Amino acid sequence: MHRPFFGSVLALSGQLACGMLIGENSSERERMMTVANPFPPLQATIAQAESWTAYLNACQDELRSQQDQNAIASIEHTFGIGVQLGELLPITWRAAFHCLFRPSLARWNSAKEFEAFRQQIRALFYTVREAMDGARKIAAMLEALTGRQPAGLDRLLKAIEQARELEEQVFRDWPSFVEPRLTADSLPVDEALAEALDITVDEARQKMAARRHQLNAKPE
Amino acid sequence: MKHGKKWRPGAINSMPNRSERVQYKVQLDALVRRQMTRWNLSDELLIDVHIRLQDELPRSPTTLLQQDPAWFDSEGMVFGFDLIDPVNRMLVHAFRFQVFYHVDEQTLLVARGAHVAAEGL
Repeated sequence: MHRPFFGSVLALSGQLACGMLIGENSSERERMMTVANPFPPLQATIAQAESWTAYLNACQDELRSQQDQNAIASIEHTFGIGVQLGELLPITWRAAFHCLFRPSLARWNSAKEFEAFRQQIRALFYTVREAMDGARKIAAMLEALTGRQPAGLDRLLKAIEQARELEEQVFRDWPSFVEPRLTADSLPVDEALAEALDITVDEARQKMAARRHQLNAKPE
Repeated sequence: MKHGKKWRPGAINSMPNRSERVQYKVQLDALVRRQMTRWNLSDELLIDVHIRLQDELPRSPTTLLQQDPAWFDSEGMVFGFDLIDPVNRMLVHAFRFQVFYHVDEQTLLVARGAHVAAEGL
């Protein structure tokens, strides 16, 4: 059996070096290629998860076709990568978030950069969750074959649930520039100012009124 | 031809144009609010920006809003203005906001923004 491990690593590294991410079309790829990468380990983590997903899928095929003890032992050993990738996900996300928003970086990012970063984070969650799902399927197959659960299954299931919750939390208030916009969480201007200054809406209105008065008294 | 008393030439018709009659509301999307927080503007400047969005934009959006392919991937319309920093008058802040008309045609949704500051711009 041919497990497309090293080949897929090289191929995927090449694709990702050109900014190719899950679900992108060619114009999207061109767009991604033009923006700076604020956190290089992000692409490496995506490539790693993608290549492990391909490998774990190949392992499933192997378990279906041949079930000798050596193959089972080898694949049982490999299953642990799903756990490792899952547990690495929140750490990677926190580091990427810190890299983008820490004050020592540029004062503002272009819309393209911000959107490209969002798409990469999307790809991170997608690929890692795919890899973990592949590992979970292997665990089920191994259990059916051997009658016992592979070591670390409880950690994997916990990581899968944590990844689902984290992804929901990350993107709940992070709208895309290219997806349809909703006004559900928009605010009137005075309420927005109150939120920004951490004061009441009445206080915000008073500040605006005072400033208007000042501007009218001394027009610039 | 002799016109009746109710007939008036167009030039003296006092009917305001359509854009002045609509009471526009401005709403700021969560994204642009977060962006403004990240710009680290002084409180005074933040108030000035909000005053521009509250007072100027809804007054005549058809005049103020422009399509500008240089901003926001040509999506929506752009409301832009420059402000002198109230604290440091040598510093000029340029703001560009992407604005969409809501389906109710009375709400102007400010979706995102861009800010750059330069001395003696």
